[in-house]
This record gives sequence, C-alpha cells and structure tokens, in this order.
Amino acid sequence: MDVSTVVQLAILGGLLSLDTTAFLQVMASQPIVGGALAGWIVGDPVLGLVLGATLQLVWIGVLPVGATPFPDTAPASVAAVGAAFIIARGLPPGAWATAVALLIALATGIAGQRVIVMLRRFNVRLAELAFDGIEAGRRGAVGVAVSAALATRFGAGVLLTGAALLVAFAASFAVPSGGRLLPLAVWAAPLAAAAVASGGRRMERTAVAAGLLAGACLLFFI
Amino acid sequence: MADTHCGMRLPFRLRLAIFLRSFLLQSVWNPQGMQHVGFCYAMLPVTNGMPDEKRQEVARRHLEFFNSNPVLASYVLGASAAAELASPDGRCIEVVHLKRSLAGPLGMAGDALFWGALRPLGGLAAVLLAISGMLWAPLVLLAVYNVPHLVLRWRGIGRGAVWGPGAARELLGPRYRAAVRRLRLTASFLAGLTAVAAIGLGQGPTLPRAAVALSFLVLGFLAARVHVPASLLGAAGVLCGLILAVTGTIGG
Repeated sequence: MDVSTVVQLAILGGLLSLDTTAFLQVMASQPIVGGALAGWIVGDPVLGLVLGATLQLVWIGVLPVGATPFPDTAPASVAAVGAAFIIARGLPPGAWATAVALLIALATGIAGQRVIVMLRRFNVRLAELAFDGIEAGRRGAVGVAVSAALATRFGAGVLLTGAALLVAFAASFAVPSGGRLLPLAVWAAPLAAAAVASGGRRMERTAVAAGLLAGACLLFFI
Repeated sequence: MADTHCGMRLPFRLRLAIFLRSFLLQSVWNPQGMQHVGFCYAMLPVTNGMPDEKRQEVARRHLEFFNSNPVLASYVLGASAAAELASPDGRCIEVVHLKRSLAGPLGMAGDALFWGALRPLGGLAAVLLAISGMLWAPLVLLAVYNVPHLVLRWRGIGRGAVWGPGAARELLGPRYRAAVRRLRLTASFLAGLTAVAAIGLGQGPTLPRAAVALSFLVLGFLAARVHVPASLLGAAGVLCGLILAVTGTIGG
C-alpha cells in the first residue's frame, strides 16, 4: 500500500469520526459504511464490506448517547480494512491477516473511546471561551468554539486511523499472509442477536427467538 | 411568567439556517453543558436584526445547559426561535422554561426511535444484505435511518415554531410509541434471522458452525449480564475464528 492510500484512509477516518456525534450524525460513521468506503479506497470493496459488517455486528449495541463512553467505531472500521490490506502485503488477506486487522480495529475503537473522553473535557474549555466571548460582545466566539471542536475531532480521527495503520505495518513483518479465510459472521451475528435481546424487554427477546426459529426453518428447508 | 406560546411560521431562510446549524448541535458536547454551545450556535441566526444588547442576552440564555435527542431537538429549536422572536411583547412563554419542558420528553422519544429502533434495524438489514453478497448494502442503513431523520429534523423546526410546547405531542402519543415498538421488534427479528443465516455461510460442515453460533449466542447473553464490553467479546470471537481456521475446522 502506498503512502497516498494511507493518507486517504487517515482522512476518511477523520471525516467519518466527525459523523459519530460532532457533525451530521447521518450514520456514515457506522462500521459497515466506513468499512465499505475504505474498501473502495484500497480497491477491494468486498473485503471492506465483510470487515465493516463484522464490526457492525460486534458493536450493534453501542450507543453514542449522553455521557456514556463508547468505542470510536469510524476510525476503527477504516483501520480494519487498511490493516488487513497492509498485513496481507498484496495477497488476498487470509485468516491471520484478517484476525490481526480486526484485533487492531477493536483496540483502535477502545483507544478512540479514551480520546473522545479527553476531547470532551477539552470542549469544556471551548465552551468557556464561547461564554467569555459572548460576555465580551463577540458573537463570533461561538462559531470559533464550534470550528475548534470540529478541527480537534477530525485531527483525532486522522491520528487514530494513522496510528492503527502504523501498528499494522509493524505487524506485517511478524504475521503470516495468505491461508484460509477467517470465519466471521458465524460468531459475530449470534453476538449481535444476544446484544439486541439483552438490551430489550420480553417482546424483543421473543422477536429474536422468532427470528432464530424462522432462520432455522429456512436453513433446514432450503 | 406568561404561559402562552406565540406560534409563528418562520421565514424560509431562517428555518434553513437553523436546520443546517442543527447538524452541529453536539459539536462542542461536554459533560457540563452538554449540547449547549451547539444549541446557541443554531439559535444565532434568530438574533439577526436585533439590537446588540438583545442579541447578547439571547446568546447568553442559550449557552445554558441543554441536552436532548440531536434530531428531535429541532422541535425545541423551532419553539425557542419563535418564542425569542415574539418575546418583546412579554406575552410569550418563558424560553428557558420552554426548553426544559421539551428537552427531556423529546430526548427519550428520539433516543427510542433513532438509537433503539432505526439504527439496529438499518444496521442488521444492511448486514443481512451484505452477507448475501450485495455491495450496496450500506446504502440500506443510510436510507432506513436518514429518511425519518431528515424529515423529522426539518419538520420539527416548523412544527416547534408554530405549536410551541404542544409540538411534541405528535411524538409522545400512543401511535408514535406503537410505531417505535414495531420497528424495534422488526430489528429484533432480523437479529435472530441473521444469527442463523450466518451458519449457512462459508466453508466447512454445518454442525460445527451451528455449535460455534450457539456458543456465542449463549456467551453474548451471559456477558451482557455482567456488562462485558462488546469489543472484548469481539476479540474473543476473532481469536476463536482464528483457531478454527488454522486448525481447519471451519473457514470463512
């Protein structure tokens, strides 16, 4: 992978991380979207979609709501695709490359969670600056605070994605490439079903059970 | 404190300015004032044409604590804009009281719809299509979430301005709750269906794949009871998948 692709992936990670809470919230930051976009950039949309879908299932219950900390899924999903590509060194990513790439992505999500907490503390300072500006009659201070918050969030997303890709580059010397494909949906989809059922009431649990039953019937008869 | 709301239709340009700025509601989210800076930023176009003193007063008022659902906060923005524009005559409901009365109920209604129903529904539908080999699957998530998102965000500003505190009534009634419940149940059904559909994918015999799926279903349930983070469960899944692939038991 050349430097320009790494830069493109890092910028994508930064842009998508803005969508998580700071700007838009149109779900472009969801792993399946980020993974697919990263896949287009590295020239393997199927790999991007598969890794994005896996992370979507793992983080199906994660809600970026209120003060609860949440993994930064956007840079993580972009990093997963880039990392798999880097570790595979031009070959189709096999079990080892995909597994290490996903572990790097999950670690990126957790690191991003810490970064979000730090940025939100920094936002307290920006809010104070906005308040001081208004008190001094400078209406533009609010816009400056908003721009500064967006810039720091974008920068953090770029750095997180870049750091994850750097780790993948280091790992590429130790991880074997090629080999069988890693089974993904077979464990990720049941985890998602359990998360949805556990987060709901009796009606939701019944609906999950009905889905399992309907799926079993389809599997049996088709 | 007066208790009537001065409903008004906002000029199109003002409504558009508030709509566009509302996408930045959480830009400066912080643990103290939460969405307050974003709310103030979205309200600034309302103060255009007001005397400097009044502009400062309005900006200061909207820098107070605010937290609601980022989409349905548009109802509060519309209601607050109308109240600010009509407030010089002293008849209108007090703006801070208005915001406080709307933010909580709309926050719960919005979180239930967008986070509790539409996001998992869109995500699972997209995953189901993706594992069926459809490359455009992520567009399904974007469509399922964003059609109601953009409609309610735009509509909320207009409705809030005209109806004030009463604007939220359409989102707090039994019809809305029933619709949210149906969406949640559909998402839950899809979650179950996807879990079984995944068994039929990839290489290797079905029985070991079914055993792996069942194990992770049980593990997911148990882990949820003791609040194990999803990322940790994901790592366990990756390692298990790696062992199965390397030993040749099953493949992807």
